[in-house]
Amino acid sequence: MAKHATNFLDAAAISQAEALGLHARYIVEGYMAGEHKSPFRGFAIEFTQHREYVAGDDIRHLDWKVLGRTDRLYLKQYEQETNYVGHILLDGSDSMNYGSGSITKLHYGKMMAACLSYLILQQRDAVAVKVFDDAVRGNVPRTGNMASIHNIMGVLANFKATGQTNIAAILHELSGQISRKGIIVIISDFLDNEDAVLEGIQHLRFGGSEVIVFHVMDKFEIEFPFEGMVEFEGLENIPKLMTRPQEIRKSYLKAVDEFKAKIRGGCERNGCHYVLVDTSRPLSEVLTGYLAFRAATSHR
Amino acid sequence: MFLNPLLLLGPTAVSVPIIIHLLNRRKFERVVWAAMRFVNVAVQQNQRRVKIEDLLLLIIRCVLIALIVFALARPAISGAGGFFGLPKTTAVVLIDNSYSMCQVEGASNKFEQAKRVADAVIDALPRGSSVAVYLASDVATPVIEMPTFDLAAAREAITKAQLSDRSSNMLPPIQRAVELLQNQSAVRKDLYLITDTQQHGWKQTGDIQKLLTENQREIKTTVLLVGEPEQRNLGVSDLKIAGDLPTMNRPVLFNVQVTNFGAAEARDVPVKVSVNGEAESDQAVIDAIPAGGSKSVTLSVRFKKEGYQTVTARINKDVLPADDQRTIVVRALKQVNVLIVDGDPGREPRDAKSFYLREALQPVPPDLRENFYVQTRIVSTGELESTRLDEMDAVFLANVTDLAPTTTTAIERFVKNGGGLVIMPGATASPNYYNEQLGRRLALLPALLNEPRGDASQAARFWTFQTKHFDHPIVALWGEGSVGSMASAKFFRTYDLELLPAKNIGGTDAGTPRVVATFNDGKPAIVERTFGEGRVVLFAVGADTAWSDLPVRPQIFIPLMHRTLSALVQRQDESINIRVGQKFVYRMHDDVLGKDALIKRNNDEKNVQDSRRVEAVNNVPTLTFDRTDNAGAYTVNFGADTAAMFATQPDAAESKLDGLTQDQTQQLASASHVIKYTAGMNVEQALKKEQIGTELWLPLAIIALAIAATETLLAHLFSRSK
Repeated sequence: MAKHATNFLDAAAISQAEALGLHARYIVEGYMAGEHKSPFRGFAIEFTQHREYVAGDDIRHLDWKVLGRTDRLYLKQYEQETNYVGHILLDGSDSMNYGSGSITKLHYGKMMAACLSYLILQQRDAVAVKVFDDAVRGNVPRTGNMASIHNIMGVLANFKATGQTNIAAILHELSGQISRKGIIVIISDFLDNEDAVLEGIQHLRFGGSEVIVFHVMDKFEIEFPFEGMVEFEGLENIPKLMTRPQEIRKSYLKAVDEFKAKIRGGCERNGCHYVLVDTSRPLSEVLTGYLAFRAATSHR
Repeated sequence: MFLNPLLLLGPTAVSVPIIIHLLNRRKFERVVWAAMRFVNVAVQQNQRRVKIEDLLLLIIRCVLIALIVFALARPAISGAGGFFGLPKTTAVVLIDNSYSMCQVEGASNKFEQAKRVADAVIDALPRGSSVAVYLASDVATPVIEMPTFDLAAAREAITKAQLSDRSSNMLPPIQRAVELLQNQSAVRKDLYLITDTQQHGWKQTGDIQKLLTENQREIKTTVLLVGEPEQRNLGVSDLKIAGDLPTMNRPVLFNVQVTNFGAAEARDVPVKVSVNGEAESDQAVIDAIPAGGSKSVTLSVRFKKEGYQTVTARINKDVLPADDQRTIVVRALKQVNVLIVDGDPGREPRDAKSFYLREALQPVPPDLRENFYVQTRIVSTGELESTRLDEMDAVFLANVTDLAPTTTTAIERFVKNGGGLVIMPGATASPNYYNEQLGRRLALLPALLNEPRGDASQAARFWTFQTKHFDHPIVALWGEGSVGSMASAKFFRTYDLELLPAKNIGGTDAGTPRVVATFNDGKPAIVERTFGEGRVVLFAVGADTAWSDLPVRPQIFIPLMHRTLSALVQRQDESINIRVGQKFVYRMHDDVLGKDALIKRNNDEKNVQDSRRVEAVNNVPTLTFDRTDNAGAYTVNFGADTAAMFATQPDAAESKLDGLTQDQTQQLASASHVIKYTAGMNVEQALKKEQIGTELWLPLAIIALAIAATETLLAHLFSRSK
């Protein structure tokens, strides 16, 4: 598991990302223990809920009373655990399994999620990771402990995409669960009903969180470079199609461009950052580029 | 019509693009794909267009393959000449060279006109055509046997073509040309026949029409008629010795027949006869010959030397010079040697059975007999065995009972080798010997001697000779009515002659017996047959007066015996006068076997000599010569020595220059294109109007090329991203 887990930490990406840090664009509510400014001063540390202990959790937060009564390991969770919470939502639908090269979109997304988690934890912020398709399939609850990074890696590594996606439903569901404002990172190919997806994003934004959209696409999906007779077999139960791609390339690229433009437009209208990620580009380049852009825009 | 019809199996090749198309659909890359919705949208947007494009390309490729296969099958159609130029053709040009074509018209003759027309026909042939040239008479004589692309050579051959003295019958040449063309693989096949308008050559118009109609789809026939029918023509239609012996230094009579082939009576026709091309020996004038009728005159010639001589009869030249003279070859004899075998010499000369016979054969006083042209020698049956027969021209068996086997064999050999035999069996003859030995075994006899009929002692009851139908040359004299009647001779008792069939005995032909004369009751009185090179004449009575009074009727008996002797002698020379075109086959002496004879036509301006080797045929040295297309005398030489002469005579029917009948013209026009050539006519233009029909492979190939280019362009356009 550890071997799988470390795979998602792109050393070059992390070192460059560390230098830049990850700055929240907006002032998050809550306790300012780090470099973040909080508009909500004088808030007490409040107990919010229990959750089951998972490997790597800090045993200082164990609820000994519960342990004494039920003989079970529960952690007490407090809302003021972190300065801000970075929610990383990774699309784990079957369509993410496509990859023209050695890396699938899902694998790329997992690496991206891992890196971002590490960076957030590194600057003593909290991170929560969720992998979903039509429901949440993998979940790492909010944690500010760097030791939890292994837990995150494990969840990511063990995830296998099989189901169909329903991003909109997941976003709506999460917008109800996320009570504190933070940063929500969505890593997906958005091969779903884009109108519903955009409504979900809008819902998240209404909660006050900053939403960053990483639109993951394979190079072949962007360029459609096939020649000859090709039979396309859909990953999500779509009937096969036999065609000569060169004859429909223009139509395909037009449809893809319209799709990207629609997602981008929807994001921009809702004040979200939209980043188109070509999985053939190095992850470090993508992250560095985005964080540099983010740093530049937040200090203004 | 397809020239390579087997390649029509090629349409199965049309399935090739379909198979390739289907195979291509099976050969694809499988891609597991996420963004199917965009592919789906793109496919739906383009599906109809792509299907149409695919279908269009498939159709174009199928059409392309079909066109290539079609072009390779070399299709050809008629009636489409012009756009791609005239189609090349394989042609056979038949030029009539029968002797009617020598009819003079203006400054030249019909044959020269025909050659000019043939030249124009070749000029009118489209580029790349091939042509064979034949001379047409009653046979097709090749000038250029197989179609050649060398049209210049064809023109030269036409220039050198010669007239013949053959008769015309257009069916055999047309058959030959049709067969030749049927064996040619060509799109267009043309048969050009250039002939005169003579009716005679189209005797078999029905068969010609049938032949041409049957092949009309494959072979286009054009008949070019040159010249005009001619209503005036006289010709020497026959020349023959008048039943006389062709002996030296005495007048020998010849019958010359002149026919008026014109439509009006001919008057005052001078007829001349000459020997060896010298000055005329005799001449006469025929007062009048009715239209379509013939008249004969008897003219005499005198042979000054022994051996082969030519006798030529002439009339004045007219529009058809070829028939204004006729030549025969005659072998003039110094004397004729006759052996008379007397079956019963008797005590007194008058008692001898040969008495009347010798008197008849030598009807001159005894002191003149020595120099008479017929020399006789009389031997008894017993003496015959020791007599040399090869010095004799004829042997007469006068009342011979029978002959010894060796003598019988000698007689058989004598006749086989060209000798003449006359049998006059009398009351003492042994019918059994004659019938079994000479009749059934050797087939020498033309008839069997059946039981005699009549009673020689009853003077009141007799038979006579026939009174009409004197068809046989021996008795033809009595048919003319100028020498009295044969019927005065009385026959009281005769053998009943039963004709034997023709037979071949050990390679020797015993010909079909012919009745020379009959009795007044129709029974045969004199019968003859050829045997090998000789001839046998059998009488129903003997040479004496026991059964008839024939021997004592000199006005009948003398000419009858002389004509019989003449028939025997001329048998040896029958083969030296043949029809034009007939093969000359002649028995030669043993000493020239294996030698090469030089044969030359006497009046040949070019002095062409043909060499032929004397070869053994049935152990007989035989000379064979078949280039006898021209009339006249031919000489056979071995070195400087003349070994033989022969002459060819044309078919007189060819002299009739009547034009085609309306029926014949209609029949001909239904199966061919008939062009009446007139002076100044542009033959090339007239022919080109008819030269329609073309091979389609070139236009098909061009269309296929254009379609291939279109396919490439469309395939490129369709494969561009949309």
